[in-house]
Amino acid sequence: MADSDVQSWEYLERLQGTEFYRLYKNPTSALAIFRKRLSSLAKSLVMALLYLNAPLPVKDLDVWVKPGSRSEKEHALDLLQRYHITAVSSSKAYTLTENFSRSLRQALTGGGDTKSFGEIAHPPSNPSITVEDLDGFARNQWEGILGYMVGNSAIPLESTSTVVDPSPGVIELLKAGHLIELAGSSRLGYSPKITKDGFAFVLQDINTQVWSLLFLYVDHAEDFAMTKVAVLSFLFLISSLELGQAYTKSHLDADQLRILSDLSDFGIIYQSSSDSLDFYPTRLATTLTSDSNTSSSNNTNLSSALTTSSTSQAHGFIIIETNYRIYAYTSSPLQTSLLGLFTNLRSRHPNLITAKMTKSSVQRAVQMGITAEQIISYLTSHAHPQMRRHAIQAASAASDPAKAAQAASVIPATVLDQIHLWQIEKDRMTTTPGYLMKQFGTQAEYERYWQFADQIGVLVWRSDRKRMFFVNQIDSLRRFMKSSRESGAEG
Amino acid sequence: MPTAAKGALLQCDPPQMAVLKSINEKAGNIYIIEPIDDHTCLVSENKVDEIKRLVKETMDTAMGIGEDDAEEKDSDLD
Repeated sequence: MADSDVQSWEYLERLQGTEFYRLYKNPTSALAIFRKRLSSLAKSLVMALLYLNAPLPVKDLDVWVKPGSRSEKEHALDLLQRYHITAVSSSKAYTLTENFSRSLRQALTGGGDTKSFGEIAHPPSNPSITVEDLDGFARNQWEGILGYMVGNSAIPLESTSTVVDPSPGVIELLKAGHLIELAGSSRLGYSPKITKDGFAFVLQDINTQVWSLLFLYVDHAEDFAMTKVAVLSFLFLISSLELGQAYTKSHLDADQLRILSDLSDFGIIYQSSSDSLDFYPTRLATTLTSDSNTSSSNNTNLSSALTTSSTSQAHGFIIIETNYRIYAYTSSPLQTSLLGLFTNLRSRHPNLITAKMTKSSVQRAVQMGITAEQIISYLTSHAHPQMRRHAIQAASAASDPAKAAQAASVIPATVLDQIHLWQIEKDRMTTTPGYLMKQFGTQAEYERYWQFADQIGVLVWRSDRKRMFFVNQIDSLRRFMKSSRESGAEG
Repeated sequence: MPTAAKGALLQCDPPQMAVLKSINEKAGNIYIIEPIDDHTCLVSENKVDEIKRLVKETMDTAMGIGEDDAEEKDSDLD
């Protein structure tokens, strides 16, 4: 991947060890990483190691995990290693890194510096602010940004909701992240033109979008003379706050106040003005680091909270017929623009849009960098409740399980297949950046290494005949090869 | 002793691979680092976009683009 493109959590994994060291000084950061990034097994391992006084020998840890779950174990250990949570000592034993364990203990049991989880303002300066107000604010800001990107202005529509234009800072950030390009001149004003990466961005779920933008923000923090770690710690702090509470700004420093005002442009926090005494986190903030295992349900909560005004149904407004016609019960200009990315819009009524997917409309989208999976996941997550009911009925009616699985998909199977076929026709070449591993001495050596790569989930391709395989990440594999060579030399 | 070669793994169908190989030869072998088989090869990571564009251009000229635009017309407009 080109590095400054749409950011994701892999961005965090590229930080230096020392940066993690400073990051973990904050209990909220340690807790956020623990909640958001670790698999269930990795969490149990951390919990087991947390109050252990002596390092845990590697052999003892192997006993905890059933042989059948070896791949989960390797994956968990790899995660812990990548986030600098565990360290392997020279005597082959695991310990948690010092800052992480201290911070996590503090986060779990309380005590220490209470300000690390924010300070509640007593009494709030404006007690009349409700959770609904906050949701409304977050929705307007965020839809404003997305709407700006897909070019709301191109589709004039009477709409009850006011469209908020994003602030210059946000536009600058979108541009720096190559999500949009600005065309035009300073005299006539600039109009945004969305890029390939921007398309991929707008079709993602909200939580991913928010984080992508925040990582962009972190990446550009150094331009404003702030350190990445300071911004990240503050973001994690914001994410641990409680919805509907007012927090005082009194102990924040100048950098943090600056971040606050930028976050308010995103709709992540609300403050009545930049010099008000307190601020409110919105739902966008409080769901930032919700538990990785429940994030899908949180996302639906989040998106339903954020779409209630524009559509009468909380979520799910798209009906797809097997003849590729689409009926979308929405009046939101944003959703209209999104649908227009990969369909031909047919007609618009006060609360309904009809459209049709055709070969050319889907291929146009593919050309712009949208994948079939993105289209399908967008359609699935916004499918009308009636479509879901239909799918469930069809699944329960089908007698043999294979058929039931097929019928259970919300989108008609013919449509699913056709979208894929249309994509393949246009884009028959896939490329994956990474490393080609070759010239293995023996078949056993080759098999041991590709199996390890497969277990930690970095294996992309292999050819038994040529005794070669391809991985998208090499660090863990390199460590594994080194350690197994050493132990091979000993024995 | 195993070795690792950095690059991008390119996977496509044999016709595209044939096109890519001929482009690569004409350009003096600057794209392909290691040909593997008819479906896969290792290419320079920073040349991926260029390769995709060149292969697509060549394929499009060979097949004649725009021939299938007529079928898009919707017969049952409502």
